[in-house]
Amino acid sequence: MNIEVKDVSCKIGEVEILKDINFSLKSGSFSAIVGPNGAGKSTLIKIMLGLLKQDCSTGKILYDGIKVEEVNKSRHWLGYVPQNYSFDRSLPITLDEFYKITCALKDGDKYDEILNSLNLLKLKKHIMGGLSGGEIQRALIAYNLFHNKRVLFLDEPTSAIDIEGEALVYSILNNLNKVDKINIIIISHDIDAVLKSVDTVICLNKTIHCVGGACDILEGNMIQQFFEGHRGLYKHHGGCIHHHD
Amino acid sequence: MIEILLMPFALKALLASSLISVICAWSGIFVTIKRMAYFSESISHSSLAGIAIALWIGFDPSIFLVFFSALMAGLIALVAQSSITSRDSVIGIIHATVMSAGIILLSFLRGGNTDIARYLFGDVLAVTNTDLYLCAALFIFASAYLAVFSKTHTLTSLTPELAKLNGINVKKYDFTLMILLALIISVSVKIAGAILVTALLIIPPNAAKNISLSYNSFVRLSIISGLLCSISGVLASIFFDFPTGPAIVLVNAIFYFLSLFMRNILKIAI
Repeated sequence: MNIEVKDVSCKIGEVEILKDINFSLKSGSFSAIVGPNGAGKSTLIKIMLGLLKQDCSTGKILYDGIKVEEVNKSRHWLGYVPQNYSFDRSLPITLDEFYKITCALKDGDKYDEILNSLNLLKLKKHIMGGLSGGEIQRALIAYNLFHNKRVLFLDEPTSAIDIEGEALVYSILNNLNKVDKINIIIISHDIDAVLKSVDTVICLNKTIHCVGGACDILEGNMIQQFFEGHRGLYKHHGGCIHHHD
Repeated sequence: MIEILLMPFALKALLASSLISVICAWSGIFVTIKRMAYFSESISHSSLAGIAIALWIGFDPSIFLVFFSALMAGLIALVAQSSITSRDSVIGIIHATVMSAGIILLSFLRGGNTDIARYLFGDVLAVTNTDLYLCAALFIFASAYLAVFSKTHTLTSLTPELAKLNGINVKKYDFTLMILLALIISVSVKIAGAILVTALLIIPPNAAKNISLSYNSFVRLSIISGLLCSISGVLASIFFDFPTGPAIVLVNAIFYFLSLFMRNILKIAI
């Protein structure tokens, strides 16, 4: 699905959160939005999801030429895994019940298959409040898959999980992108992990500083220049993997 | 002793409290998940102002309260959605305003004290045919609504942002839930009283939550415990001549503390 972000700006009161954001993402892309804290990354994806339109933003978001408002109203293509999924952890609801209540499940085999692919099958009867951060992230990815989302946004998907869990999440996302052709857009501070997986990088700090192929940006030293003032966030890299169309 | 239960006032009391307790315990699930206890408390307390107005203009308070409470809920939703004031603060402001107006109005009323006491603390033993019809109508309407929209309300409670992405108008559902709760409270005031009615909404689900290991059992146990506690309270009220509303609430509270004890004994760890 082709995604276009046109002239997006966002102000809350007199504070400018985002200014003149313009970029487009190709169908089937795996993209990362990188930038320091307070750069407007989470705001940008909420605007791209159509969740903040009335509050602060101007501009247009188009998915295959269709406005995001229309997409949310009738097509429901957009999936989202928030950074902090806050819910009442004392609520006695099993993962299985959560899906049966919140998703219109029809195909029983596909249900177990998706849960298995996300290492969630054995957790089906567990109470959601007892799941770890990584398990909740995967549970929300499964929620989006049950709704047949075509674009999946993830806000810091690996911030609350260990290295092993992080590798699992990236391997799942790679699989969804390559096999199921789902557009994936993630926010991450972990540049090394991002560059190994994504094909497009958007450097954001209130405005767009660079957009392009992960390797082009890395090899052209653009990302180093972008993070010049934020050295703590970018220390080293292990190279990138060239993605071919 | 048993014959007393076959008398019309006892049958009406048992029937009315059963209908109300089931609906309160069922809708109370969402009061618990969405943390709407303060909203419920405000609507029930503000009903005193509604009763005062009804008595002032000579209208049946039971029927008048239904419209008054729905209006209150609508006002809270409207102000909360169209201002930067938080919902909690809006509820506090409107609650205090309406209560103050109600108390001033009550101070002008003479000879209405008996009615006021009934609405303050509940008097299910004095349930009239009109009250019973209202309870039955509410039971049918609220049961049908909850049967159809329970899943959507659970979704909007657990994942409001994800619900929006699936085309669900979360604000609209929040508003309809507030109106439904207002209607339930307005009819239940006659049973448990304005002071205590919130207990029927929050105690059964929270007791059930303590000892449930699934959402299904949580909902079922909430409804069953609400119903049994309510019947026990009415029976205690009839046989021991206790005030009915407080008797129902005390039985519910005993069950809640029992569930808390059982949770610790069974070491349910969520």
